[in-house]
Amino acid sequence: MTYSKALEIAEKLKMTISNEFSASDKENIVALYREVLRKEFVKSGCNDCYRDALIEVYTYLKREGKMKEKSDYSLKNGVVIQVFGTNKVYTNENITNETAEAYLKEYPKAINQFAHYPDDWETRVSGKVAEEITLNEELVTELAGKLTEGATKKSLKEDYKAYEIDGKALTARALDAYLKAADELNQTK
Amino acid sequence: MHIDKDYEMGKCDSLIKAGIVADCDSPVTKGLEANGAIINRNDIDFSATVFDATRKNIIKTLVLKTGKQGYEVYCPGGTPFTGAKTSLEKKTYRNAFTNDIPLVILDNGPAVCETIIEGLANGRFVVILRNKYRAADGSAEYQVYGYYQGLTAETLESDKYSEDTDGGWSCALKETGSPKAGLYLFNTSAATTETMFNTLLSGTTNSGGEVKDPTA
Repeated sequence: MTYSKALEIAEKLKMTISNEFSASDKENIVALYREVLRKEFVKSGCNDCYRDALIEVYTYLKREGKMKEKSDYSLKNGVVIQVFGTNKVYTNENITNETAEAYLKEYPKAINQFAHYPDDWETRVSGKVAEEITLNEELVTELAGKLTEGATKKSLKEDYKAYEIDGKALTARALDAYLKAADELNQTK
Repeated sequence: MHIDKDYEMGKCDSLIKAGIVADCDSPVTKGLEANGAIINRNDIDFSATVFDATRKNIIKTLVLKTGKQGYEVYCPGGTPFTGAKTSLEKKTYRNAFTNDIPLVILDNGPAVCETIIEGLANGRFVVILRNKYRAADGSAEYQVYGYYQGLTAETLESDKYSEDTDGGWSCALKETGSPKAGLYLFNTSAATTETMFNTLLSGTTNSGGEVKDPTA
């Protein structure tokens, strides 16, 4: 979903904020919350959870002028990380690739505290320059199309793990790069 | 080098290590805050959980398995979680501790029965409650129950004419055989620990970005 589309949906939902949300409005708020803020909506006992969530989404979009950037790393619940020499605490709310990699460089065994991480995290952390990948445009377009049709990255990784280009199977790192490029292609549409 | 036999490998010491005196700077105070967390014990990633290297009754990071989360427990009233206590359990070779944690569920109906009550009846849980007493460094606030053996339901009842629960549910959770008198969650500072506690309750995952377009 693009920034402008998200803002359009949020504005439409904001028009009905003084009324009771319908079931489909609530579903939209949950989806928007996940898409814009990259976190799951947790419904607790509060009366205005959906209204609060919509305000949080709308405020974020207006203030930041973009969707929350997706990090390649996410932490398991219960984990916070602090990079040595700073007093800043990182959670899934604010973790970036740089922070995660700096932390893992210091404490590689802490990878078991991460829920998701790229397959090539060790290469990234060790600072070795990875081999440049030249992307095949046809495959990028094909993957972008499948993502638009609703395929998930996880399912595409599974479907394309044996895919070959010039007789060579795609590595996990190359497939990540292809999916990233496909995502970017969809964003620009 | 003299090695006290109580400290030899495999022989755990059973000695007190400090004077039994009151902390005048940070006096102990009774009671609990109204909110805490309950976690299915099976959802804890014990291999990734980290204990403090020097203070052995402190968990520095309580880690949940990927995709798992804890749930808030809230108990209103002037004395929330009344009856929460830890007591000595006499055993043949090594004494242990029993933890009793009462919960109230001020709600009832098909969803409550399905999503909460039937789980409570059969599951094994870890509960984190917030002491009003924090200690000088904040390390005494978040107390963890059920880490070693798991808390299980001893009683679970809905009395339709109860003056206390108004037809909701009351539940008594118990853990027996805990080797530690108290286990606390604390990492660096009160603020960091609060952030960590909140992440236990969060459904956050920033890698599951594929969602349907809500307007589609």
